[in-house]
Amino acid sequence: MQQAEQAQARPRDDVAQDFLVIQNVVKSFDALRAVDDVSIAIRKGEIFALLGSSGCGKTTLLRMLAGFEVPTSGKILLAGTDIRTFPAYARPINMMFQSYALFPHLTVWDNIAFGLRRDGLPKAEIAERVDSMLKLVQLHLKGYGKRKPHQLSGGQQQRVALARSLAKRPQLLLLDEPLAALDKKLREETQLELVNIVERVGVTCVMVTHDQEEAMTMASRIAVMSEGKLLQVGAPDEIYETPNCRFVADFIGNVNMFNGRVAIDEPDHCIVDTLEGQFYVGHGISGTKGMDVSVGIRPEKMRISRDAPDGAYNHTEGVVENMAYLGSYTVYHVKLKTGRICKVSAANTQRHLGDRPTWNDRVYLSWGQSDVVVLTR
Amino acid sequence: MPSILKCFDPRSWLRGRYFVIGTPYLWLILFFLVPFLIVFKMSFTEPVNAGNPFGQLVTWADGFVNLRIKVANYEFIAEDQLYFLTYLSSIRYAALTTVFCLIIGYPFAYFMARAKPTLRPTLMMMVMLPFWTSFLLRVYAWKGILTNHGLLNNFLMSIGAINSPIHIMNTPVSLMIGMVYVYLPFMILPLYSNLVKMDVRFLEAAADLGSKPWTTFWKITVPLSKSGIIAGSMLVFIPCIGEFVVPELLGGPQTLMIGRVLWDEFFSNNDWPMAATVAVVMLVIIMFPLAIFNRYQAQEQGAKA
Repeated sequence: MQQAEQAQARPRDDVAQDFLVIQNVVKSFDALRAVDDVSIAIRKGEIFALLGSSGCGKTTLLRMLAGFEVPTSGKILLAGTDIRTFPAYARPINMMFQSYALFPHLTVWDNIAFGLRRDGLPKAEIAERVDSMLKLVQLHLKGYGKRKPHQLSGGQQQRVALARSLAKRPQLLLLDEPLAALDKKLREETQLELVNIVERVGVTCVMVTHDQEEAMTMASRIAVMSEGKLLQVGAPDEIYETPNCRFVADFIGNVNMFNGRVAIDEPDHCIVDTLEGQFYVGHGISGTKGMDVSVGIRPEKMRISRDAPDGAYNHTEGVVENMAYLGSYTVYHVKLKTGRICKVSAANTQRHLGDRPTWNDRVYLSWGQSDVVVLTR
Repeated sequence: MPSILKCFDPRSWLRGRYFVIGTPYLWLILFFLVPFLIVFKMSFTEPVNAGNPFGQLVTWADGFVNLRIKVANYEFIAEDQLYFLTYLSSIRYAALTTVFCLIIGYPFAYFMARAKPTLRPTLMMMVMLPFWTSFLLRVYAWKGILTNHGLLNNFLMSIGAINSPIHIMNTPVSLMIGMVYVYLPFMILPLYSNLVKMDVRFLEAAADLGSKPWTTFWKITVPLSKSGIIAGSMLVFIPCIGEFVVPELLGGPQTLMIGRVLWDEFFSNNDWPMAATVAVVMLVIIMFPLAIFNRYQAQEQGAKA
């Protein structure tokens, strides 16, 4: 996978590096703003994921890139050209549709050749390209080319759809929920295979998904959207470890969120008062004293123990109300003094774990000063 | 109990499934197959006058059972060019009607299917609306429009487009106008129900792959609506072959159709056996497109399974 660089939400000044630039794009359907002033810069060769729950505007944004919707305002620059009003058929962009939209009356071979024929390529070249595409997705044997889409399994259809969308060597590949139609096991296998193929071809790729695991596995950068707005853009680890708002922290993975107030704010640390005690955070925040903030801690960043930790900060206590053994880790539901439930996960790194807390045990939860995120919005 | 045996178990006959399937079959056997067999039998008999328009196949006289099968009617149809030409012209008019209905009906159905969902029921109503008045009345109305001093000629003369009336009535043109008018809804409805179900993602996928709208129409929309085209064409073509009322009212001496011949054999010549023969041959002719239709449908079903 590609090394992710410093992420940003806004297009940078040196546009040359940015291959696809979405600038202040708005799409309104009557009173509804499906996409609300979104700006993203996507670099050449990267796999970029638009992540969000249904109705967040990610699909509308993708459809604007494909040319099925025209933005109400804003610009879409592909390699410097504004393609905002180009019809779909005139864009050097191809899309792999959700549940594939393979033409049912055409064979696999003709499906892949469809786009090449529209370009009026010579027959020999079409044949050569279709065959190489079939080889790329490993469907070149057993006469798959002569079959109709309904004679293929879901996984095979997915590969034909990928081959069809890559056959024209598009400058930009769009994937709309590429793996949603596959069952769980096949989906996991296919994720990395899809990334491998896309990277081998070297095409820039924008994908839409509601599945955060899929986004994190496949994409080099992720944009999290909600209610038409772009919330955060970043590499998977950035989005997970340094979410910029409550929604992102909550949407990606699990998080224990505590509301509090800034008690001390120094350049090298800050202290937040909450009902569950004082949080000592190992960095300053761009806030003011007395400001309402939330602090979030991921379940795996918390330590659970029967022994009381030292120090005045960064621990609390409660009772194990529930626990779920999930194989590679165990999730504890700890009821704190305030009555709220806190989730803590502990990795099961050994087969026989000795003295671990169990139901109804009184336990202490503790965390490091850099394991907390302070969220101001 | 195996399901095959169940069919013979009277207790299960009245139970939902067999009853539901059985009723239309029973209906068709009683009111289609039996009458057809009577007609079929009739076509091999001799005409007898005096109250009984056709004779018996099997007679009993002087201790003999006589079976007389007359095939002369079939021979006559095979030999007499008039019948052959009439069948041919019936097929031609039916085919032409089908083609015109398709040319007019396809765009009609297409735009209906692509109209706003809220508008579609209204458009549908407008296609069905003619059925609310008598078929006969509507065909008569065309007479009023197409005659030499009818609405159309009067209008064209009043705006000075023509000096003397164009002779349309009782020509192949008036016949075609009437036939296309009457059968158009039968083309539109199956086409519409097919096109409205079509997944627009196929059209988007085609556009995405560089196909311009017109190419998409021919390469994707038309092939995917093939079953609707075939269903609509059958619904128009088959009844058109035997159509009697429209040619009778709007046709003329040039537009001989088999329905007319049938009528004449029955009611002018009083030759029921000959009329029955004409009808049987017509049915055989219609069987061909029906068989093609059935085979296609079976293939479609097979492809989906």
